[in-house]
Amino acid sequence: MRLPHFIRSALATLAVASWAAGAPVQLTRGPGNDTEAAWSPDGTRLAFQSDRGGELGVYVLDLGTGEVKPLVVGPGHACFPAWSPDGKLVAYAHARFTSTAAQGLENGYNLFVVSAAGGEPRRLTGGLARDYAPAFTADGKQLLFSSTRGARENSVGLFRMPTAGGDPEPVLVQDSADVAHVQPALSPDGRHLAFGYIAGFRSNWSIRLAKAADPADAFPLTDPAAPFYGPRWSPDGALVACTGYQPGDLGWGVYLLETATGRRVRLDAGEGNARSPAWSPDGKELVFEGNAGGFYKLYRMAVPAASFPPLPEEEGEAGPPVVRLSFVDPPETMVADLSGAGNDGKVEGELAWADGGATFGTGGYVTIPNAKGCDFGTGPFSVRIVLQVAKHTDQLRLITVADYPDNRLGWQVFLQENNHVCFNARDSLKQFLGAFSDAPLPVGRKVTLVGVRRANGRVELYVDGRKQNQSASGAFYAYPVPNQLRIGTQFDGNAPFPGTVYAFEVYRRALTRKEIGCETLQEFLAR
Amino acid sequence: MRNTAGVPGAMTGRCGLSAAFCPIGRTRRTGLRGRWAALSAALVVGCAGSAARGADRFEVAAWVDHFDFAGIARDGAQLFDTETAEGVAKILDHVQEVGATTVLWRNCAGANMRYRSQLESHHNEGVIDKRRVPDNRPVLGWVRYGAAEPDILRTAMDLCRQRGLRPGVHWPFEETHWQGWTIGGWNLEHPQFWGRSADGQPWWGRGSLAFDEVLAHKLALVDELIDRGAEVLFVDFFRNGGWSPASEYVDPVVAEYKRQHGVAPPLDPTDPEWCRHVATYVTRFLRAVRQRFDASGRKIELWVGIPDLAPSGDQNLRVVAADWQQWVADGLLDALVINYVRWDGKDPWNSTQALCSQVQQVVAGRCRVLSPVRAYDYSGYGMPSYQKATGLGQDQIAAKLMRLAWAGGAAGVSLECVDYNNYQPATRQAMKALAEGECRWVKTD
Repeated sequence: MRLPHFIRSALATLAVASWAAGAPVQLTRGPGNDTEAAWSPDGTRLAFQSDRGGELGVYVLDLGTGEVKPLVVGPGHACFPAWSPDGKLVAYAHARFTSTAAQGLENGYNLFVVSAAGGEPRRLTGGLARDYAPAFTADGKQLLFSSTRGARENSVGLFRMPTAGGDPEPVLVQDSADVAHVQPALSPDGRHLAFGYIAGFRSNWSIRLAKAADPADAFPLTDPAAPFYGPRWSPDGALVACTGYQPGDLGWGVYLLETATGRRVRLDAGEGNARSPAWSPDGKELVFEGNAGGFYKLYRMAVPAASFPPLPEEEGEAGPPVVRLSFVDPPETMVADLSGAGNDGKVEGELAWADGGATFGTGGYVTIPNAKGCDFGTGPFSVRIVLQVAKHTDQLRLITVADYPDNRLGWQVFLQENNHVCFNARDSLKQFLGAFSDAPLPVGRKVTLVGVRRANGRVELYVDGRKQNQSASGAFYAYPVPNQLRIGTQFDGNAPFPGTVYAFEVYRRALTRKEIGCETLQEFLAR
Repeated sequence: MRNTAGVPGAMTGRCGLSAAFCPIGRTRRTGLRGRWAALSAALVVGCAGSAARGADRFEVAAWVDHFDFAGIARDGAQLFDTETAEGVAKILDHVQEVGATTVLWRNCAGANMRYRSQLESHHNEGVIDKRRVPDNRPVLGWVRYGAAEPDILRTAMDLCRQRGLRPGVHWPFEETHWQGWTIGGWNLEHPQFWGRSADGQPWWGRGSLAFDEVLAHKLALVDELIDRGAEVLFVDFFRNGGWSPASEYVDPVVAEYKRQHGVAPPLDPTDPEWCRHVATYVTRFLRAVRQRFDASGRKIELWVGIPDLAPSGDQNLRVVAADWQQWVADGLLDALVINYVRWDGKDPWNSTQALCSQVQQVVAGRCRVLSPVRAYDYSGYGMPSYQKATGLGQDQIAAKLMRLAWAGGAAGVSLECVDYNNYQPATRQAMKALAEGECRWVKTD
């Protein structure tokens, strides 16, 4: 039932009057879910999506009067509204549906813009892909958005296109199964792009910051150890608001992330889930959707002076490697182990030696029989490899394998057919547990790979100091004395690695972030 | 999170099993309630046909893999419209060519309902969600099961009954299914119930059954299936979505472990004691499902399918927390479905028969046992592997496996999955001839 205008106005007045008290104030009421709000640049209105009419449509709430007007309603879904910087346009995604598959397809989720005052929408994209979560650039001339367009795997990439119309072009696409980049948001200074990112079903959503000039150069603002998504920059760029959950929370909440440090705090948004925060233009308020009353409704709250908890200090052990092979000079008989553990490597077959590295690929390999110190038991260990490949192939390539008497695939580093790197260990049932790279291994330059099995059983992979999103847990296989460590092929000579290895080290501990060469957030932001 | 249960050489196929595997070494009672009660009772008797010969009808349980007959094109048009009664009838025509007695329709999976669910929607019809990775396949992308007439699962159940077939639901144990890992809406909304690894990382792949809220949600979904006339609920532990005891380090499970053992649980998620503890929550779920069926006043059967079914040892417990021997002993199951056994490539037939017979000996008649005639080759123990090991054709393999099952005293066979031409025309013909001929009745001597 629609409330009389005077009651709605009174409720709105109440809302406007009381929000300053600090507690979240409910802005919308009635049946249906009101979600994905965006604040108009002048701060007077909110555009949001709602299923109050049955189908999902875009509506505008006048914050002064509390009146809600439909902007785009009708058959299909209209969703993810975004204001242009001048406040004149609202971009959104829209889909229509057929009744059955065999009737054929109408559209995907396509982008449209419409005058904020209402009127005839203008189509920006077409086709069967899902284009959604648009955001205008600061000058209003471009739209950034998420899309499945062109994906052969189940993936979502970031694209941009002129607001005036034209062909979308990829910004950041990683077409791997279940990898998604969603809800792009440019920082106020235009230097960085924030977005939600997930590296697959076994990972969690995280917030990434990327260089706007080179979006592939990205840094995780949150770790996938807990899910965070839907980033929105504060007007001064010091904070990112997002949706998140940490163990112990009662559900989804609104989090503030400090962009300079990555520290985070959950805001008290009342009972129920709280999601999809969006900043007021002055940065003093947030609007979000909460479901304390059952349906999701919009709320506003003042942004408190956030008190961020200190970042945890990394615990780390010290200790030399148990294997450190030198590939600088061609060996006379054995590749020298510089660790002092006596794990010299024996060369079998043909290897090419040049520029401080050994090039594999013709079936030649290096083996360290019964490598001392590699009887890790259930304890931690790390492997660090510096290597280079000239090109991608569609073949499986074994960089290294640790061959144990009862498990000949004990742990491995290899290139998959899709050229992603995997470091794997085993659980106590000898089952495979792998950490995978976010992207194919870079070619034509040296790359440092670090695989770590931690004391808590987690398996992690780092590429050039960047922790990769997809990890695994439960790796508690008790490693005894190995048959061999082998570099260059599978234990049986299969799956040769056609590349150059410059350094190879094994440790009986988890390397620290510093040892791994992890860039800090501050370093990333500064360059 | 465990990313195992892999399959050498197999990646995501039409069946939609997890593709995140390593390419090497990857191991990778009759009642009157409900509109169909009277009719179904009559048909079930006709289908099972136990009275006439003093033996039960040999079961040919055909899984229909989440209606994915959709997308089969011929001459530029869809061969099956899976969202119409006519389309479902055409699917059933195809399934019946294999001699099916029971048809297990997969409604996608636990949280993505391909029917007019009041609790969940199919992931492609709901509001696009920032937390999902949208399924990018175009063909099934825009169908609205929640709005379309007819209610497609109810229609499928009705059609089965009209044709004298027992209708059931193939329900993967996992939260979801198909590529994109289209997590259900309820699960997405309740991260506080998600699984958690030993190091505290939440995992959205499945809500823990240790939470009463999760259990209640699952049971409400079961009620929807009962309401649609399902006479069998087949819980498939092979399709577990990567779930294992590794993701059950949630507060209530950990707290109960400490209460019972006086110590914190081991970090190793394959620890037998930990897995036994986790399995009690799975057992609680199945017991609750059983009670739901019993309370319905109708005869509804509970079947479970176990991958790599081991007649002895704790392997099934430690991989998927499937304490099937306890379930059998407690009388929770009407049928135990052998998804596959790890037969010996050097002696495929004898080793298959020996392993299946051992399972039957353990079960000792406390529920029926169905043996596999599996079109899929996930884990390398399906018909394609038999073909490699023996050089026989698919029709010959199927007939051989069916005869072995029958001769070994199995209650029937399970067919994973009777999707379009997974069982080739000659195979369908051979199996139907056996189902209606020499294998029609369960061997009783």
